[in-house]
Amino acid sequence: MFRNRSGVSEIQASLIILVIVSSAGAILYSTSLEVLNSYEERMNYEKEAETERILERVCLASVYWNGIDDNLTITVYNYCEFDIKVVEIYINSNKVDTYQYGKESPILSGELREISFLCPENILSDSAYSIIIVTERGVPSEFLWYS
Amino acid sequence: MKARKGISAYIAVLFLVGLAVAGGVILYTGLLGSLGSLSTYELPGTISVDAASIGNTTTCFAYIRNLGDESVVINSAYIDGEDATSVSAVTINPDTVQKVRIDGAFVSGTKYGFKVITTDNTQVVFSVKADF
Repeated sequence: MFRNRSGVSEIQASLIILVIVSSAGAILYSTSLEVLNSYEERMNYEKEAETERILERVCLASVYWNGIDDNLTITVYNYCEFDIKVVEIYINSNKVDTYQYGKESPILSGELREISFLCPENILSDSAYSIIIVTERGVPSEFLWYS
Repeated sequence: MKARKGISAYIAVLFLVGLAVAGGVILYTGLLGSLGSLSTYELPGTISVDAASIGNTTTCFAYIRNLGDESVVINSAYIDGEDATSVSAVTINPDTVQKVRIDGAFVSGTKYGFKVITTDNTQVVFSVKADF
């Protein structure tokens, strides 16, 4: 005897499978796209920061010492394409702790900026000193100064 | 003629639906797991050395700056590829600089290559000439 069997047809079953596969694909695609985009953003940021670090150019235009105390005033010239900030200065690898002015002031492209500070060691006449200027991008530039 | 009996089309479709669902679930959880772990994977930070000097036969001081977004903790140091005697486990917060002490054996007039590594595997390489 023929048994009446009711259920989904082959076409309906195929459609269901198609819907399931398409939805899973769409979810996977959007998730992976989101993750890859965040990676790309991070990489672009790192690349830009590294490029700026490499292209940064500063020089020490002058160093003024009054010959009496240990205060120094240096003039920094920014000759790269973007602005910089001097965040730290080292004299003979000793960190400067006391600044009078000029620290962390933006130095625009092509501009000079005076920075005055108390030298962390006694300044003697006719001596050589290493002055390291560090910018906010973490680029150190070393200069030699003869008092 | 031999009558051939097999599963009906209805059961076959059900099987296929079941297989597709199971396969989809396995793929989804597997791939989502890998992608999820990728997104939560901590990228190494960025550190740089402002200045460093070797003051005597045993000690080097380096001013290390954290340019990244997360705090880093100094974990180990190498001098010319060999383990340093000791290194101070200093925590460096973002946009700050810390003095790190690296102990080893130094001879005046010699140049040494240093590698400092943090707990999240951020590394910085620099060289210092011993001058004392």
